[in-house]
Amino acid sequence: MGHVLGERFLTINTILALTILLQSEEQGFTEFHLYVCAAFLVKWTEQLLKMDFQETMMFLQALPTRSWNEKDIELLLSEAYIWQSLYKGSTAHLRDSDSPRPSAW
Amino acid sequence: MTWQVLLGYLPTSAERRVATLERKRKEYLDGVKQAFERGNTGAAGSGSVRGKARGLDEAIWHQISIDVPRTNPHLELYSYEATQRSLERILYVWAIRHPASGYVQGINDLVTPFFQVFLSQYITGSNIETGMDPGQLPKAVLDAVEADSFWCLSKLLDGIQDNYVHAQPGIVRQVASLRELTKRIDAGLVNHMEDEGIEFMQFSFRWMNCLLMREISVQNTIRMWDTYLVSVF
Repeated sequence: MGHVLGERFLTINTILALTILLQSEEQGFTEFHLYVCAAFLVKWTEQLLKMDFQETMMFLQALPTRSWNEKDIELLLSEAYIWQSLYKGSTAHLRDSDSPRPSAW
Repeated sequence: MTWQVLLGYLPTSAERRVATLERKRKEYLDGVKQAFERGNTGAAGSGSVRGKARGLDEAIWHQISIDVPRTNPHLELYSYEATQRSLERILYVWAIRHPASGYVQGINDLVTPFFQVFLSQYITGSNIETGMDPGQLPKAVLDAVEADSFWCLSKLLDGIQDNYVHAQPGIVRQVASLRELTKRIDAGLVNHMEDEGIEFMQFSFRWMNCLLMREISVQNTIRMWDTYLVSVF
């Protein structure tokens, strides 16, 4: 996935094509964010499995992401894509069909 | 500019874009004027005092004036007067235009990537987060940054408004979905957490409400939104 800001532009046509292609998806933003959150959470599985309630809550309040850079974000996003492609079809129950996207989109 | 196009704030044709930008920026500035001129006595002071003197919606203004100084306090950019006043105006105008949700905490975080990205269009070669007081920019430039941020925030929130109405049903649903999804990906983790009495609501409400912005830096959020906007809108 390309980078829109800064030097590395996707051409506007590519972006429009992608946009049109993906606009047909029902839930867009919110749904992909869900997969990002899941990928984010399971990043810490190894640590979390060793923690009790108190430790977990403290750990999750201040996750060690200070040193994260672009590479870490790209990895997170690609993991989210993988989960999405694996589970999308089988998670119809995850969709909130009663909240249609505004027609302007 | 790409973000503005992707969010549907700007048309894809270059000529129409210039006209639209001009119109939208003016529309925002008029909106600000309207919102803040009601009963304006010109008094200046700390947050709620100023709000009261201006006949603003007090509850909304009070919350905004508390949240703005708490927005990214670790970044110098957000400590400047000019930045804080801009964010206050953006949030207040958005709130009174969306009475169904009003102002909800978390929206103050969501506006910052836009503000930072649009501001950076006018600054070259320096780190936007430090050593740059937006108050030194010409007023017209800052007005444009503010207006663009407002409209892009509006577009973003249009898409996830269910997250910000009373009781935030959109977020409650998403938290439940996250638990389901995580159970499929890593049942061991979910079981362990539930054995320890940890509810997903306790930690992931914020992940949804602020789109993980409290978890990662603004720079990284901007990188992430790049993908969100390109892949989704």
